[in-house]
Amino acid sequence: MNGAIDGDAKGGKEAAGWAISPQMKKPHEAVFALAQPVTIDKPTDFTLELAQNYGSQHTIGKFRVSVLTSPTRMVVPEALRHTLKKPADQRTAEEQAALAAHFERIDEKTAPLLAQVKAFETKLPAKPEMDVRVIKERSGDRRVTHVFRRGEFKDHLDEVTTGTPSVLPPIKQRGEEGDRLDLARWLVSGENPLPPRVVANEIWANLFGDGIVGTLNDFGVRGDRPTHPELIDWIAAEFVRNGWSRKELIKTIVSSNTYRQSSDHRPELIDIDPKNHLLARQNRFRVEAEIVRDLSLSAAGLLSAKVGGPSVFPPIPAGVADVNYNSAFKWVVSSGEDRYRRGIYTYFKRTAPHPNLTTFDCPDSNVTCVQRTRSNTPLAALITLNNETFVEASQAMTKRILSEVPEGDDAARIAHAFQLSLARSPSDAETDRLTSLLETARGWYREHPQDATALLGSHAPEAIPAPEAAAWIATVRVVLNLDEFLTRS
Amino acid sequence: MSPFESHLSRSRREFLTTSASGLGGIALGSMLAEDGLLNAATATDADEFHRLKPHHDAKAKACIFIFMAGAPSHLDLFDPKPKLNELHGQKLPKSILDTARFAFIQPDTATLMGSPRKWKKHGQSGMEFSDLLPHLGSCADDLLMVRSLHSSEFNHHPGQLLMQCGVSRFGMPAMGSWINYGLGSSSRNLPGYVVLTAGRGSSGGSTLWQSGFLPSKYSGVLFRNQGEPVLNLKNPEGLPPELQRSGLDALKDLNQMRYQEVHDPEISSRIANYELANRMQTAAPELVDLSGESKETLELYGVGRPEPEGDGFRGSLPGLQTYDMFARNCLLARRMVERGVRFINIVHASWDQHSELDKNHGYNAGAVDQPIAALIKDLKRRGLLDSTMVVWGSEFGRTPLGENRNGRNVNTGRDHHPMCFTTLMAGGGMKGGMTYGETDEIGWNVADKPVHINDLHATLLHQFGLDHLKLTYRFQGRDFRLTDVAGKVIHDWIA
Repeated sequence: MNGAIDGDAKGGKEAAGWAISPQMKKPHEAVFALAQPVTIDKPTDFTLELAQNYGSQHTIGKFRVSVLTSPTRMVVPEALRHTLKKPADQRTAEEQAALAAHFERIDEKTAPLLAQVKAFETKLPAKPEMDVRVIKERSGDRRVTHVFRRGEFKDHLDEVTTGTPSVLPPIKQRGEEGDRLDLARWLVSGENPLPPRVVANEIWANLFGDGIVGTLNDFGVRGDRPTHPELIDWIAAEFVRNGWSRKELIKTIVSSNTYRQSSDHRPELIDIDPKNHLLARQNRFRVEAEIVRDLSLSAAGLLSAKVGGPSVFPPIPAGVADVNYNSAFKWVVSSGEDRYRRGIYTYFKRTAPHPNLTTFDCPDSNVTCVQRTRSNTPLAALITLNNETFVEASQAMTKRILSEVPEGDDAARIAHAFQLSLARSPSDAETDRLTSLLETARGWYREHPQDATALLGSHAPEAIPAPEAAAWIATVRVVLNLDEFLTRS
Repeated sequence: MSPFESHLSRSRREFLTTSASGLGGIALGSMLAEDGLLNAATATDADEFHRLKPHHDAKAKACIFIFMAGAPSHLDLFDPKPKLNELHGQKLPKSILDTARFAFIQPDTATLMGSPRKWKKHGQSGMEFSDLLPHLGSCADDLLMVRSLHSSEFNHHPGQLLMQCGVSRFGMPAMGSWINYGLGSSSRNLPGYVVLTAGRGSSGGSTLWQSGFLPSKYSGVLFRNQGEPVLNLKNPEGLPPELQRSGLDALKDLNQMRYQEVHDPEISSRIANYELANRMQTAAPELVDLSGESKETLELYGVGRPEPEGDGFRGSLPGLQTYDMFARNCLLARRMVERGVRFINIVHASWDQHSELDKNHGYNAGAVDQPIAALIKDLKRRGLLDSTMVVWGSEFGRTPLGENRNGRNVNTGRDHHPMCFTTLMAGGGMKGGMTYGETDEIGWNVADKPVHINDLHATLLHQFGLDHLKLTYRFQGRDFRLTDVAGKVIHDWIA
């Protein structure tokens, strides 16, 4: 019985105790049997010591102690005692069930079976689904909504009621006041030109690097004017006509001549249209933070295609996740496939986001962001050159190239590296330049075999001497840092 | 002239405006000039460099913002209140309590709590400090003490955002980002905005040095206390500097071949940034290598000091050498200023002493007092203090009431108090030996010359030659500022 109730939590296993959470404010009963039966033949005083070690907020408020001589399994909980006092035919179905359940727990035949069932239940695999919060419209007791002074939630200004801006088609309200369903229907009614324009423009921006309306989040008087007013009208109308199918819209855009143009800059247009607003060519832009990593993992053959599920914890430089205020939080690197999931599945720690994401302009997830910036910094260069994830990609891609292309033809292997990373063949000049680097690296690693072994990492190709494999890793690493590789052309 | 060069000179303006890149315009420009890719004399009139001209003459060139996260008690460090000691144990009138918001205090039973500290006047100015800060006291005549700062936030994260970013909402740029955006970096090989931390993490974490809606090149770069100072600085194991150089040469050649094909100026920018990255690989380890510092200097800062006896301090975590780390950070800050880093944040957490305030403020003050004083003295003797703004600040102060949260029998701490608190400044053209503003006799409210955080920021920007009304960035349809929609320059502070 030592430490049976609220044992000292710091005392380790032996002191593990018993507490009532989450069954607060309900009657609780505990039955204890003496380890050794006691025989009493004359009046005797018993002393019961109750030591409560957990703290001031975990002590028992009101309690009563009873001493019985019967076996502990014959002790009947208070609620069942009330049931037992009733004639059997007056008991409710719930009461009968509770009684039966109690009997099953104490009966010598059923108790061990129940214990077995319980043991099996603990081995059940976890449900794959995640909890999803469903937000329901308040009915009846609608909250009064105010304008907050500069966003301060305790500083109320005017009360507001439902309605939409008068420049847009009026909302159809089913009741006296509009509700969320009315708003949803108004947004996608097709009569309201704004939502399809905003969505179509956002899709366009993903495919061209910039929107037809440059301010993706502002179609109002302070936003940019569209560069092609008729085009935004047309694609928005097409989008609605095709049943709001994003897929159809993407298909329409990517099969257009405008989309399929080369993104090469045209020197003759630099003074006329420096920002390429008129789309006389495609745009080149560095891919988004998550995709920078996806690209390398993909070329290396490491990327997992698994969809959905909880966030994962890819490698993170030591110490980064420790500066996060919650000292109990530990970043435990995911193993197996989860190490190589797409970047969008990376866990986002509020106070210590993954630097591989933020350095490439992945926004702070505390605020809404509809338009990312695209920086080009030395810190980003250091990531793709030296970060564990990217070095591992070079190692794995080397293994892939050396095993997929037979030995003896460096040019063929370089061409394969180009196909895997850039989806094109190298020019002769490019092949020569990489071959020259490969030779320099071979020279180094032949003389420094210990360096070669160190560089191989966890994806060492089989049956290839370490100096040869290391020279290829040093070469492949350069390919995975090419501007062309990091850029959507 | 090669096509590469001719394109650069023809589209200089385009090049410099679209390649929003690098550690700042100067770094990129000077590097390209050095590499013969760009003529520095012609580069300075391009758009990217337009912002590098301050609005008016600047006194400060660099800022060291020492952020004491968690809110130190002004009543136990800077602002002696004999009346509070007299009234110890008494309740406050209901009329005062009703206007306040508390995190944990139960107003019905709360009583005033005096301070056990001993106070001393320091220097010719007679500036008062408690016995927890003897070293800072010895810098009194170089310090500007503002006792009348107030904030509009009473919880840590919003309060920290307000102090660092001028607005308490997420997504705004930190002051270091604004100043780098306004002036650019003056370091060729190091980031313009560096963050150093000691102790446990702050509740604001990296949101306190983010660039918000400004491009991410203006974000604070967190220097590590252990291992490599900047993330990913070390080459992969088994890849020596010689091969890193060969690899970068190949990369540069291949990228230039690509440039010949597609003429995208972003490629030249990427080439420049890989070169800068390579320089940083040498410059950053050199920066954090303290072996060239004299024994006298190391001792002045307290580098290598042991932790004090005892454990469970809120300003550290088990196993951390916070005293040593903070001393190192102060010395590193001086070395960064010497190497042209524009803005340095030194963050120490946590001063959030809801209980056991005497013990933990004792630990924290012990951690920061000597190194900060050493920093000020060291900058001064090297002639750097005039152009370096040193700020000591936090998100708010602590209550004159003892904290009596539920379940506690004895008051040993103080709750959050945004109505008044103290901040210190040194150098950067500010007056030394001046105590500005007053609080009332129990340290509850500002009694004279109130200063909002927006005013503090407006004045700091002013010292950098920047007009807080003109340093703006258009985002979501309006021009945003560090000072939000308020702020006034406090000319009384300026020497």
